[in-house]
Amino acid sequence: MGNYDIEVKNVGCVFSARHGARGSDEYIALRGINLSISPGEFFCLLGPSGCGKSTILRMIAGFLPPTSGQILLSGKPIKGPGIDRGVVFQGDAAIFNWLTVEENISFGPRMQGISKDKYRRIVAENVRLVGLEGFEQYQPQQLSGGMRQRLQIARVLANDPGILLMDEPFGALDAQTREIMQQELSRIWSSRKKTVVFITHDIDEALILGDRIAIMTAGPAATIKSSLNIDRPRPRELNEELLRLRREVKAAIEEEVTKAMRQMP
Amino acid sequence: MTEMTEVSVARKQRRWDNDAVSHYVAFGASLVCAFTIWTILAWWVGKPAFLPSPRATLDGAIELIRNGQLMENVTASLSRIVIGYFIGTCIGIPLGLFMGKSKIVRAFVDPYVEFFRFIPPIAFVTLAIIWFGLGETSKIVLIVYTTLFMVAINTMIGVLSIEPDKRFAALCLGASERQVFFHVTIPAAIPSIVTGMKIAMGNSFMTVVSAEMIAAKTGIGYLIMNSRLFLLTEWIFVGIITLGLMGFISDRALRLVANTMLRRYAVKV
Repeated sequence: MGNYDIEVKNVGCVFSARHGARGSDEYIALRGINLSISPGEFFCLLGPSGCGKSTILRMIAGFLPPTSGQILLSGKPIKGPGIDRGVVFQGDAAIFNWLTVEENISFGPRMQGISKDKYRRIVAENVRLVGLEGFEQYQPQQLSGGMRQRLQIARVLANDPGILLMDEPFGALDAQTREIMQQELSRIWSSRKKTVVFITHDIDEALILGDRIAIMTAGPAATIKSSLNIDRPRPRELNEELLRLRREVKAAIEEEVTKAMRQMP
Repeated sequence: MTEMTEVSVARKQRRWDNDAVSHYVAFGASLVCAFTIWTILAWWVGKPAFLPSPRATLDGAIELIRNGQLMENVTASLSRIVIGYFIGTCIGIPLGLFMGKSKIVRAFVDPYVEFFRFIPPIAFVTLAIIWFGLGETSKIVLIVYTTLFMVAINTMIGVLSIEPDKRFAALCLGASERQVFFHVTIPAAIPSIVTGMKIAMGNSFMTVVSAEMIAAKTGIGYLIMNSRLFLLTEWIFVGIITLGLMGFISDRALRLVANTMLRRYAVKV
């Protein structure tokens, strides 16, 4: 599976609320988004909550068409969800809770008609990669929150997509588990070299994981405020250098958060 | 550390046992209470034709069992329910799935759903007799209608309440729309389908009894209605208690199936 580049060209997104009491209730969520993500890059999208980060990810995933502009995947426009883009969702809603851990992971290969002995190997490999050995026959609701996120990652990796789209995958986890998961993801990414689009509102998370961080402005009509490269070896710790960057990013984010607070009704 | 854990486990185990014991004690005490009050009331009223005692009811039951009437009527009612319920479920589930899946089907069916939901099946008893006669068909049709309605609506609700992310996840894992339907939509709707089947079971009992009271020569409803003519109040009591037991047993059977075969779907019944 080759690596893909993603080109987001002048994308805008407008939600229309038809049931609005008076007038046309149109909400301009995004405006003039331009991104260029290169093959194998770990790209973090950072922004205040409600700014439309997830909307961008959903458009790249093909769940939602852009109202204006275009998203290209290796030069071709996106026409709906595809196996070249694996999505790790924010919560548990995307997990098939009637299937065991093993059956969840083998879902992708099974849908594509891959033979049983072949997908068994794929499952075993990915169970090992995310550290869920011994839990193959468990139901998802018997697992902890962190394990369920790992299950989602394994399920996506079993399909070996060129692109990983991750929507605040560790947002609901406690601080310790989150830190462990970040290191694990860093390790998995290093071994599999996929293009990753990672949505987060956690500055430290973005600094530890990303090759590049794009900061978004507050909504409505959110757009990309700035972006910075982080050319540091992994595994990373928050050393002097990153802490300096952190102050910079924090100042930029705080400006947007205050803006967002002032706009609240 | 290990020792402490074991102790706490043992303590928890004991508390659980106590819960189970007190549950059964309360269950038994409740039955004893009911029978005591019933006995006292029957004695106080003193008119068996008005309120027969538990003893008289038991005698009535033995008589009905001996002369085979109870068995005959139970079989009649039960076979109507089983046939109607089976047909209704077989049509209701696919119909509900289509209603949940397609906006057009939903829009087409919606006026009828909204209209008929306020009409109890009992209201159709006379009409069913005019159309389908006094035989088995009219009763079975009524139960099919009751079951189909409940099962279809609940199946539709189940399909509509599936989290969109489940569908999206399946799609980007390479599933086709058809595969999403069979591997995500149906399993995710199962808890709701079972809820519909459970409600339909209760409604089927109500429908069959009322239909039998109006026009039938067999069935528990007929037994109750016919006993009234001879002022055999204890037989009415036997009929009512039999209905309760039949309902209880069928509900337990459904629960058993749900808890064993459908365990992984987290069906709550």
